[in-house]
Amino acid sequence: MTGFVARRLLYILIALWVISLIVFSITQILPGNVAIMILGEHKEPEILRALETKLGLNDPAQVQYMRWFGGVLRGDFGSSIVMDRPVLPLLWERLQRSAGVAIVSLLLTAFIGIVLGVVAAVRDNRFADHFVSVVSFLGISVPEFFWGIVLILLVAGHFELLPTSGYVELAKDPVGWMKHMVLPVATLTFTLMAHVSRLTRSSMLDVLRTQYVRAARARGLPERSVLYKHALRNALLPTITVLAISFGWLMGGIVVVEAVFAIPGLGGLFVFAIQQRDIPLIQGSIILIAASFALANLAADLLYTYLDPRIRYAPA
Amino acid sequence: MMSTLADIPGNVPSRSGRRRPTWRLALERPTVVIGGLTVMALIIIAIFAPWLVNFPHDKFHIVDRLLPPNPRYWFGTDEFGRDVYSRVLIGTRLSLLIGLAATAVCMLIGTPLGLLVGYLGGKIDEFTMRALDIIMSFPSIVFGMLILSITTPSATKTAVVVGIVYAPAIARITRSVTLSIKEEEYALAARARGESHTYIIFGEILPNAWPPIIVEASLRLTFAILVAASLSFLGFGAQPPDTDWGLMIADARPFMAGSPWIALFPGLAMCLTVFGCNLLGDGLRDVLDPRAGFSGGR
Amino acid sequence: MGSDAQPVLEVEGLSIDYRTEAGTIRAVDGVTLALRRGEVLGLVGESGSGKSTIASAVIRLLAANATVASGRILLAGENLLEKSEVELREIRGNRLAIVFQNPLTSLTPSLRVGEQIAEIVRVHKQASREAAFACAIELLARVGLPDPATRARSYPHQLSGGMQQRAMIACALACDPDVLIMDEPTTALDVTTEANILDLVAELKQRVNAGILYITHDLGVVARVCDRLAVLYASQVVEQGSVEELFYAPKHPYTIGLLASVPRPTPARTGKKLAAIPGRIPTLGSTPTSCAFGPRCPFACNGCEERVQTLQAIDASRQTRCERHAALTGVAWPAPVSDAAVMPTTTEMRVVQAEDLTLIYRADGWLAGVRLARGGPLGLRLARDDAGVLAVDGVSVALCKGETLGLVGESGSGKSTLGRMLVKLLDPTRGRVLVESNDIAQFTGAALRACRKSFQIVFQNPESSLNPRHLIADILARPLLVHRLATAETVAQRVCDLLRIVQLPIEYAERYPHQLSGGEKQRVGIARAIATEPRFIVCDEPVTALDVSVRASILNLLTDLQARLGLTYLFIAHDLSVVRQVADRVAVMYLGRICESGLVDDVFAPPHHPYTRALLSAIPVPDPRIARSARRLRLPDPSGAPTTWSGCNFYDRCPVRINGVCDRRPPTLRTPKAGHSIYCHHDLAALQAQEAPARELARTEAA
Repeated sequence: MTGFVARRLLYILIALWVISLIVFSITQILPGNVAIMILGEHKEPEILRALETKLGLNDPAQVQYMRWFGGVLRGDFGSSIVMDRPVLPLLWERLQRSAGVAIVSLLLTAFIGIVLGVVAAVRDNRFADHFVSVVSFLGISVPEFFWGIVLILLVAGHFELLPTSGYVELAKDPVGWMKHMVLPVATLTFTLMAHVSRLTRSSMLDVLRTQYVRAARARGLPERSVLYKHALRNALLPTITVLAISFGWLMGGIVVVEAVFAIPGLGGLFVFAIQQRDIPLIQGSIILIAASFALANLAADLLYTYLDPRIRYAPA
Repeated sequence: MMSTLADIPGNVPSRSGRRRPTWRLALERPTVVIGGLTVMALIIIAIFAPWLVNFPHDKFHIVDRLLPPNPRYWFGTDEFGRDVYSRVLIGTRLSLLIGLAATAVCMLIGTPLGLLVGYLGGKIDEFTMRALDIIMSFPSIVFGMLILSITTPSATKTAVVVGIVYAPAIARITRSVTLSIKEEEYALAARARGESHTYIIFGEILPNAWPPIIVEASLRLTFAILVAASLSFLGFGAQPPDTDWGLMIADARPFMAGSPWIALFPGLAMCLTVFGCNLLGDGLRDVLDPRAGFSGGR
Repeated sequence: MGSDAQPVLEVEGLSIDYRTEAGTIRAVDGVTLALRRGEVLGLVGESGSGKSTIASAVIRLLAANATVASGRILLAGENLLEKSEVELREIRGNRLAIVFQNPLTSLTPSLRVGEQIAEIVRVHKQASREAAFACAIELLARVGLPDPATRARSYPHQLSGGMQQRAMIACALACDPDVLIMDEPTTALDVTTEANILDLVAELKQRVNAGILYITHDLGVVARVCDRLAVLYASQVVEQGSVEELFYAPKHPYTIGLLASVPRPTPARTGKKLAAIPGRIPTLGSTPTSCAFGPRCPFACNGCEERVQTLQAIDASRQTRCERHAALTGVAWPAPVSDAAVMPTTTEMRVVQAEDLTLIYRADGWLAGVRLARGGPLGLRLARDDAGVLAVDGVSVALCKGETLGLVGESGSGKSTLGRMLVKLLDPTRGRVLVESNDIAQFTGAALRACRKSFQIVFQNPESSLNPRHLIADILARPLLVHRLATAETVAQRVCDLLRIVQLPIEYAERYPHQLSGGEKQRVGIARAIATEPRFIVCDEPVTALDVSVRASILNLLTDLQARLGLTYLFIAHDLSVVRQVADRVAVMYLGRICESGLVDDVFAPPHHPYTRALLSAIPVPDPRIARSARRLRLPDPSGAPTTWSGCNFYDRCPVRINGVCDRRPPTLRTPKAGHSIYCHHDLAALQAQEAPARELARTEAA
């Protein structure tokens, strides 16, 4: 098993490095460069060239990359051009805001999605199954930005229960923070949970049709034990993979949800960075997103390894 | 060991007559029928939209701006007095086109790549799959935005970019099914009699590989429509004066409190479209490959 | 243990239907069985006979689309079909237990083996956790599992196939059931492991007070363990009685045919052909409307095949479903027609030769085998295992024109891998395959095409050897077109010729593979192989995946073709009886190496190498007297662990191993006569002095 973990770690490090290469290459192709952005559009060419040289923009690409990547490894992501602040602290501050929504959504998704999926599989073709089917179908068919808007309309427009935009610091005002979280989390969770429940249901159905579940029934074991002790653990293995993939989707969803609910988080920052072509900010955001995704995947892999005895105790 | 096919409950091969053709089985499922009809209706609307509208979709009726749904303007009017109903109908074209184009792009790139990589195997396979894994590990919206940032966004570019973003998913499923078919004995028999690689890929492997690929493509279609709409909503997709549902919803945001219908109807139209495609895709999945659905995420 | 008077399990007139897309199918029709305590009742049948359905019906775990149309199933007098689900749960695993065919897929992969057994005891006997686990360990010891305490804490995938099946039997015995159903428990196991499990079943019969219902398709197994026997054909019982009665005085044409067509390890060798049952197993319909076996029966007369046959009692415990049974007493199945004019001739000309072939399978990926190890600057470093599976290890064989070389071995022996290397489907890691002294690895262009044309292969599994999307005509046309043996105009005619050669109707050209039966698909596979007019064909277990009643006719077809077309065969099998029947020479493989090779009679009668002896003594012989009296050479089950010593591969299981010698040095080559090679450290005198197995004594008696 240590071999498995070692390989995964190695692979993740390499993947992060490749992503840094990709992101760097893309930002090299971006029209305009840092110097133009600092000075504005209409400056004399000589001043522009001088600044470019000073900033090292005329050096070959490899050198620029090494400089940037070296900085990243040291923790220096450069400075945002538009906002004129160091990138990393900026990212970190925004990340903390997004993390709240993300973590709560992910936990709710995992819980609700798995429960619904299992219930639907166990009560296959009965009412509960059809109900879950319909609900999850809605969840995967409606874009989350539309959900967000609908929720805003309903909640704020008619009932005026919850705030529909903005953000409040958790430390300063826990209740306010929670109130502001409800709608964004609901929007994200609904769609994610739909995917997870469908896949859990499918995986559970597969397991319920296996020979070993049949054999367990043939031993006269109570149905409860067959479902939860024998079937569920094996059915959850693919679900863990799905949750890891959902993490990636979650980050995409955060971008949209923060736009809809005007939350000043990482997603909003990324959109802003792209709109403004703020290169250091773009690079930093991508690295951060990739790193979080990689960590989530690693956690999923470790969990998978722990749960599946076939990997943990490979045949001697 | 011994093949006891007929001992498997219910699985008795039909020795006489031909197997019921797939399309026959497909048509018997309600999901396929309803989904298929919905999609066909949408395609018809998209094609004939200019003749189905009540008003030219981009005509301003400033006098009648921000009217709620009424007998004249069925879906109401927006801030410029444009008929929302007409705009929704015309928007069908772009939204469907982007989705279909994106799916076509991702199949064009992904299928040959997956076939080749799966067939060749070895180091090429491993290296390519690792690279694709890395690309796939990115949230599609983020990746799409990143690529679109290089250039000025437009509807066409959105379609192409979404196609590129989803190509690895198609490649992965194609590769996976190619790998398994490549080891089937009939493929080995083809090698044993000296068939060319081209024949083996297209004559032996592909005819048996297309069901899971089609299933994955149907999945990608629905994701493509959703992601493209999200990109348009964020401003990275279709640009004014294009008529696109995502764009319409984004433009309607300032007027949400007072005139919710401007955003509501395009949104409902989008839901209906994705709904129909999903139903169709689900039905196809049940017929072609009941155990599909575990590939990458959105 | 004596049998009770009252049967513990009775099946009365059971009929089961399946609802399918093709309509309602009667899978079981009016089956009546009686099982007593202390007795083993065998249920023999091929695919479509309904035997597994009966087992599912008894434990009431039928598929969703199956319905019991009529009949009763009585467990000690109580009708199981009327019981509620709650009552059934009390009975299953407790009074009625079942052992399934594939042990790996029947054990929950995420739970430890001991826990799965202990759970049964806890649920049915309300025992405490500790008591139940102790009971589990004791059960594992009872079924012969070495080191039961460790095995109880293992997961299923950590045990070998034989051990897993023993664990399943332990599960079944946990609550001392009244009835034990065993559904083909040894079909998925190697023959030496199978023999050990059969020994276990025979022991259990003595010690356990249960009735055992043993389901199988293998007559040899039945002869070994069963007391009584019911033969099923196409959903009906066609004959029932004691095992001696059925084997020595069968009264139904199907039973007679089966017994005649099954290859035996000591055949009366009059040529290579077997008595075969023509035709194929009928497709099941809603209810039989004529004699199910009629179309294939050589004894039918007076239109008896048109009439529905009913079960007739011959005496108290004997029944048969043939109205002509009285006329069949002592009648033999028609002997095979040997075309004396065309006898296979063997020459000295070498067709293909393998020289020191080795194949190592390496795990995929450049990151494979990487693991964390101690040492290095950080206390941990990355190390790499040079892992690889040695599938074939330095094998040299040669085949002469016109001969059949049998290649025998169990799973993991490398025989299929070797066969594929000879037709260039796999490239060896070391060694060469030579055709007229040229290495085929160097062939390109025209030489490669010629090689592909003259070397062909017939695959094992008829279900996957034909492309399901191609018409039979296309499947057979491709090789003709690729090698330019026919043009677009003449290819249709050539396809018809091929179909005729393999005795298939010409109409089959317009069909798809799924419309053919297993035996017919295999004929198409053979036709495809001979289409290129090859010189050498590798037959990779060509009949293993086929029904028993069909095997003989396929083997006969292969023999005919060899004589007519002058072919050379490499015949790969794990069934020694089949190899004995069709091969001229044989090579016995174990874990990638050849242990013994030579002429068939030299190798088998008498066997010398300890592994050959063990294999031969492990084969279940379809003859009750021999099967039960033979002194068996028991091998321990394979442990599944890779070899960690450098000498003979067989060291850890060899009954006559010499410690310090056999595990250090590779075995020596002994040559009792030209062409007969044995690889063993024991010298010839010691090998020849071993006891002749009882089987051989029986043959000399009979001859």
